[in-house]
Amino acid sequence: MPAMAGIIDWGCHIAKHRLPLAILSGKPAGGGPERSLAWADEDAVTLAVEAARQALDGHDRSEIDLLAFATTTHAFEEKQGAALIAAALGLSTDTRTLDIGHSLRGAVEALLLADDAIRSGRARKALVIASDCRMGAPGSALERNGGDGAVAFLLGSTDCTATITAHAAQSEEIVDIWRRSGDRFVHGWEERFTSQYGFLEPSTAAAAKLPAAADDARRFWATSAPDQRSSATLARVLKANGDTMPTPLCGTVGFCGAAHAPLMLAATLELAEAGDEIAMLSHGDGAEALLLTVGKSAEKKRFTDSLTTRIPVSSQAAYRRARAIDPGEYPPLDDQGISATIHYRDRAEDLRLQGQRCSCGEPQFPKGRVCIRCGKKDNFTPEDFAERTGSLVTYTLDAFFPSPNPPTAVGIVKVENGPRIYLQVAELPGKEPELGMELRFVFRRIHDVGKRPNYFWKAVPAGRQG
Amino acid sequence: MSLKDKVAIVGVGCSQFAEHWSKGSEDLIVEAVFEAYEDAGIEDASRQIDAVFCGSLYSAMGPVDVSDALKLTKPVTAVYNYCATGTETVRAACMAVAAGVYETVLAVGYDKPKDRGVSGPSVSFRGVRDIPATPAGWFSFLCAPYFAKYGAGREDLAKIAVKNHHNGTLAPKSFLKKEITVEDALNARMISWPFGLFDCAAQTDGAAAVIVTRADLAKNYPSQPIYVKAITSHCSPNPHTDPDHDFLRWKATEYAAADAYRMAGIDDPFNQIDVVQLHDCFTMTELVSYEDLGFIPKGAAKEHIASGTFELTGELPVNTDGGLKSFGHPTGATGARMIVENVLQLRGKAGARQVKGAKLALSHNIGGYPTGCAVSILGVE
Repeated sequence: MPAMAGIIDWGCHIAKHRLPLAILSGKPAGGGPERSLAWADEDAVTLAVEAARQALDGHDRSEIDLLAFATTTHAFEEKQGAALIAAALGLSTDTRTLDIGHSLRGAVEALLLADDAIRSGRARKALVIASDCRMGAPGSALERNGGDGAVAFLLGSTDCTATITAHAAQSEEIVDIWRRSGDRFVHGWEERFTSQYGFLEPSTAAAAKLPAAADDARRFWATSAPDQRSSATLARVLKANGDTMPTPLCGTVGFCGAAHAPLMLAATLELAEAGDEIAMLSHGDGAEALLLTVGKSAEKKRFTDSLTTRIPVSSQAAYRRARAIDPGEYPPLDDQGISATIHYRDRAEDLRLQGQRCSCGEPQFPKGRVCIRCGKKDNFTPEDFAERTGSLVTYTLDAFFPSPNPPTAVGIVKVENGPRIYLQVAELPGKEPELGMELRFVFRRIHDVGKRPNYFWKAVPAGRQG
Repeated sequence: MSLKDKVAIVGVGCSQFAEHWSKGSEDLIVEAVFEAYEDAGIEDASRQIDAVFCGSLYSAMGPVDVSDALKLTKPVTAVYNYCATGTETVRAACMAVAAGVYETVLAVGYDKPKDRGVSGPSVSFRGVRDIPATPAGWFSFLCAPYFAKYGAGREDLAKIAVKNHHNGTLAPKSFLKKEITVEDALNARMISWPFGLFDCAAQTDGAAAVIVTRADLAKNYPSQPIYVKAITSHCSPNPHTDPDHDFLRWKATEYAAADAYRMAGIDDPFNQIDVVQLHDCFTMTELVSYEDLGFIPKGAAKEHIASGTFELTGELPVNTDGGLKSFGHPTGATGARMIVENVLQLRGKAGARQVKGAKLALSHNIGGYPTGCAVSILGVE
């Protein structure tokens, strides 16, 4: 039974689209504060998958025995997000999967659970993902202050960058910020009240319960930051002890809900050196604090890469269309829901981009019973293509297909050492794709037919992740 | 086995193609079939027609649409092969006659898409990843690779639209009777790059009917009989997954044409065939079909578009009635409508759009992703 547990690796995926806040009040974009924004084909689950793929880069996925997903914005009230994410990551069906919902501080509990599972020997490795898409009502402060992002941590018992050394909780019943079942937007009570009693007081109370910093150790704080003023106030309190609090992302990324403090933890891991301490502090119906000790400095800069990978949003209309804020002329496609039995049969193809290879060598997607090359039946081995690159064979820009982000780029993509796949192309840098351009695959919410989120992969230009 | 010269067409009919807000499929079927009855001199269909083949993509009821409309209670068979349905319906009728099962058979192609409340074709929703799926999206996949390899572009596509709009003004039963310019086509709103609105077939309702009989009985009918030299169908791999596709051609057309030429004994299609109706669902489909049907070498379409080879006054007139561009594409009707036009051309009855002295006529349908193609070759002897 390993006594040791800790964070081995991590991945960050701040939504790439960045909305200049000036646009929300009808002014020109021009270089001011902005927030991150999940686009029409993204949600908490797709951001989570992207962050997890980074965290798992170069690691053996078969050792992951536990996946915990912390979010307040999963699309379903009943139906797990973690099982869906595990399927998209191609994890074993033996993996324990759970969602931790309803709270902005779920990531703290998810990290503790993973730590416990590894220490107790119940899991060899564990994946903890926090992801949220924060939507306030149009015109509200919560709309301006929100952000969308995800972070994933891979925990294990060897080769750890940081280990959890202490935990403190402060539970409070308070109706400060809430979203009822069926609500689209987050609501809040008066801001001076929510800031003081929902954020500052429980945060400082939980912080005070942590042990004092070890001799000579620098202590960094990775905290929630619901808005600029509140986080500045909290920073003053924490810095009074001589501690350090990195820039809290207000006005660049915005407050990413349950993912915010753990995103700050990843940011801090990339700053810290061996011997430093990091205190992660998450609020919501109280607050929780987690103390980590850094064992070595990080080599990768996943947080910085994610922060600087940006697609500027050019207009309020594009934002409102992508997030379906305005009612459309036609009702959403509700009656033509995808057959659940077809969804079930196709889940390996749809969620992990699994095709197959015939014993004759021919790769195929989707799976069929008869080989297109040799004509033999059922001589196949399954093969996952999501982590490969591909090249563009041909394309069109379809303006006829109903889309919140028209025109829809569609292409045939030749997978490296794999088959051709017919799918959507996204995030093209110019107006038109180029034949032969190198692409990678991303997991996206491709449409909401049946008023359900429907997930499949799209191809995006290759290059750095994020 | 060959169908050559075993079957003759003795009657044809075609409804007006239009957005028929005030007519149902029953009206269109009756208009087309009674015109074919008259052409064939049929006065008592229940005695003179032995069986009916019915082609439709959108029908909810199937061949009962036809038997109910015509009050013709004969053996009825539904035929369906995407956009090639019309030619397939006639092919099925020809095979039944050639096999000796029936003497005289009615083939009816029809569709009524304008009752669905959408302006274009349906966008299908089956499984999660099937989307988006629009015909314009599928058929446009040839454009980027073809343009890159052979230097053609949107202007060449536009000239095809201009030609077919012009031919449509000369066909009484066409839907669009409006000349357009290359600029009109280039400036129209984009449907699926590089197809603008004028690169796409219109969407209409229509029906067309063809009556076939044994070749040796054809002289008993009043109108000039037209003989089936070949009628073939071929499938290709799905281009979306075909590991070998070069996106410079549609293989289904090449395969079906090769079969048709073999059946008809044609070795120089450009010089032997006099008039062509081909499947211009989108302008690019017409462009590659010039090549895929073997009229000109691969890559030569651009120069032949520039020189007017396929215009009404050119060496090989294509889509003399304006094609799908002007008639629209009520899916089941289209292939049958093409055969009606070729019969009129071969009889010398095509009015202002008549190709002088036409002896051999080809028609072509392609559909699916595309995956299926049907070709007919008709002759006067």
